[in-house]
Amino acid sequence: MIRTGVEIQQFAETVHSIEGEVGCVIVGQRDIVRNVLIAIIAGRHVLLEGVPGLGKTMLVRTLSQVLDLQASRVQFTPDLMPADIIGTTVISENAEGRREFRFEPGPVFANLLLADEINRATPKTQSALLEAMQEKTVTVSRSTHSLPLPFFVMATQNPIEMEGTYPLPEAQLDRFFFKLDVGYPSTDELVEILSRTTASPILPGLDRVVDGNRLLAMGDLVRELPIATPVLEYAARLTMATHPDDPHATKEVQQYVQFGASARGAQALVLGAKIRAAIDGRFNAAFADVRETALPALRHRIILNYQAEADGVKADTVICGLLEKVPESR
Amino acid sequence: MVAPLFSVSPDVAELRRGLNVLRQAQRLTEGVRWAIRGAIAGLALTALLLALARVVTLSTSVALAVTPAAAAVAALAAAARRRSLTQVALLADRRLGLQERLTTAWELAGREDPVALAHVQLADALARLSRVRPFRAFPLRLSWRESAVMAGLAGLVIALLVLPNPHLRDAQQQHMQRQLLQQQAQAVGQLARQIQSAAGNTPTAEQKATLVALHDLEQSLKKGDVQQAEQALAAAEDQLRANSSSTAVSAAAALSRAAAALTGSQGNHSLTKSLAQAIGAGQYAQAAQQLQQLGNQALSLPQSERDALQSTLRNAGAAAAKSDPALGLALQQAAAGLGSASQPGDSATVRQVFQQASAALQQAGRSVQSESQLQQALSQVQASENALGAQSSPGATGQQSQNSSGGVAHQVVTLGQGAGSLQQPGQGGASQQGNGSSSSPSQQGAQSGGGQSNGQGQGNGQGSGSRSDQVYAPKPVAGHLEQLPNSAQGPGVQVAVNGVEQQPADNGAIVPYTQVIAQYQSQAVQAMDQSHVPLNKKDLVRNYFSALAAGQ
Repeated sequence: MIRTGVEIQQFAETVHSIEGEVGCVIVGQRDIVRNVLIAIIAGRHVLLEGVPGLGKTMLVRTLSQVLDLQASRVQFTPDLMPADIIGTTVISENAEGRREFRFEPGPVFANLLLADEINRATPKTQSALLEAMQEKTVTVSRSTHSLPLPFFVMATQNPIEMEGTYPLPEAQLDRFFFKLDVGYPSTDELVEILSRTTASPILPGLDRVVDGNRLLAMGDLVRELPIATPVLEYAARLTMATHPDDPHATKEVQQYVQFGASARGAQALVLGAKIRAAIDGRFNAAFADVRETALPALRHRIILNYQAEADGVKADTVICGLLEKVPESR
Repeated sequence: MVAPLFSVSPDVAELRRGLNVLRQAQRLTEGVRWAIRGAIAGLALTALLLALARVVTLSTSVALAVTPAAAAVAALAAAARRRSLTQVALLADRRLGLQERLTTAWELAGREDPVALAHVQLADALARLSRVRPFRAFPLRLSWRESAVMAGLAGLVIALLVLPNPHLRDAQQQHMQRQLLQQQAQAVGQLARQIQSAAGNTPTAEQKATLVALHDLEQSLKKGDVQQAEQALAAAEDQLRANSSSTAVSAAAALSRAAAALTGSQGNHSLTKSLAQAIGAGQYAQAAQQLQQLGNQALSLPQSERDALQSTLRNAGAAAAKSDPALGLALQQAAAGLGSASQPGDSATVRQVFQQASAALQQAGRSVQSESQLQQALSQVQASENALGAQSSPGATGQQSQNSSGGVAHQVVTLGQGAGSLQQPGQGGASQQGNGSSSSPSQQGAQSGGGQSNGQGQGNGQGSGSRSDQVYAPKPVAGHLEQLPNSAQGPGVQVAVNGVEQQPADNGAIVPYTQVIAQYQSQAVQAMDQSHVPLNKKDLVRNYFSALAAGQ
């Protein structure tokens, strides 16, 4: 199928329109919005980490409106059970008066699931999301139920108040396409937030820019975006360099990293780079796209050791070191 | 309808053309950049070599040639390195901020099954490429760091070139010294061959000693070691001086007197004339033979001629006896034998006494010849010493010819034998060559003017030394001048006779040393002050003038 340049232009315009609409509600956080959109277009999931009150939930709600998607929200708590998420089988009478088992879908059956404070649920409950996130199906009582497409999970977690929390296991973290650190707004942004939220309780009306099918088509389009082999090799070298035993590993990696990023990390790098290029209206991914994607795609895939924790070294520091040291071309 | 393969589409050809243009620009830029780097490396190496040249002997021109050679090699190596179009596309993307458009397009161009967006991407890349100027992607720029390094190194090289190099000066001096030693060895060898040739198959003991000394000296000089050469020259000089015989001077004087007496005799016998000429010409063997023939013919001469011959021989014997009693006695015995012979049977007696006179004449002649050759050798040794000393002294490089010519031209002890027997090869073209044909008084040029000859065929000295005012080696201190009686052919002979100074000539060419010693001493002191006199010869010069002062 021959694609035209117009499709890429429309793609870029669509994304910019979404960002514009979201920007009507969410002040600042442009990178967060951009990266969330990239993950959504890629059909993957996002983990948002930030202190309470930074607009994470508001972002998800806004996106669900702009994207014309069915959204649901689950507040994760320690007593939350898997069935509370994926649904359960109940006995009910049918029209003929006979009793039968009927599957009652949980909140996971939505296009956009907001898993709020996901680290407060028990691992059992957290793992219930694994199948849904990876396979986009849920299995209850030996019956597999497909989730509606597109399906995105946007999980949030609080970096403070770690007592009584259950950090996500590495396998589940790897399911997230991006991990985004939601930071504090700037003073100007905060002023704007205050002016918007304290004047009128009515939120501005948002246009629905795209629906689910369009998002899926956009995801298909960006996958066909060409990427040169040197760029692919750079993404691969960058990923491999996160492993302490790799020859390109920096001293920081060797000192502080216990396990490097997986192949999913490299996939996230390349796919994210392609989507960035498309949003930029380009027809190919570049080294710069890979570099810009590196932090959200790799930071949750690098497992730091205790020494890093003791020295206060973050994954972002290690990745920034890699971006400086790993050459773009051999 | 089959669509053309993507890789042969016009867009791909255009992309290839554009990338080739970029590649040419890149090669040129790379060549220039590496040429600059090569020049920097070359300058560093040149500076290092120039610094090393101050310690060891290195050619400056070679050191200077390193810089352009390094630049050329680097430029050629860079230009020879042909990058692939993929590499060129990558470089151009990076330089121009094209975000890998060209790289991706070139890669897509090589595919037979292009991805869906390949045509769009290729068109986008071509559109960008059409706006690219090759030398904007690969500009000919010189970084400030390279400029600063190059300027610094160039300054260092210039400083090393401009600042005096003591080692180079020493090396040049050593080279010139070696060259000079070879020249001196050649001159000594040539003189030895001349003496060997003149001596024939039966050299005298003195000649043998002289030849041995010269051969040893030649070998030492050929080694090229200045110190060894100086020692060898001193040793040769001592040896030659030790071999010098004062009897030769007496014999020369005796021969000269005898020749004068023979020439001035009243008789007109052709044999006495030719005998006198042969003695005057230094052809002593021929003279001895003629004297023997004279003995054979004497009894057949008329009585008047016999009487005249007897008188001439007696006078010659008397004259010769003043300097060489043996020769004088032999000649007088010959005259007596001729006078006492009255019977035909006395011819054997006459022949015998003439034969004895002939032998005495030949012996005197050989003694003179040996001494003359020894003096030549001594002169050559002194000339070599002076030339070597002049060059060893500071600032002597530019004065070599002057000094060496002056050093040779001072040859004094000539025995007045002429006939081409004197030849003094030397530096600076100072030489004395007798032509043997002129009967006019010889006035040698430069400082060789002290050497004169009387009689027939005296040396026509043509010394070309221009520094006649410099005296480097002393004349024999013990010798004094003897003024011989003037003959018809010349102003007289300057000979050294031990202990007795004869009256100087009245032609102005010779003056008492007491009148010139002060001037000579002043010049010698000046020469020593200017370091024209080698250190090891300064004492000799001082002793020389001290000895003369004591004589006064």
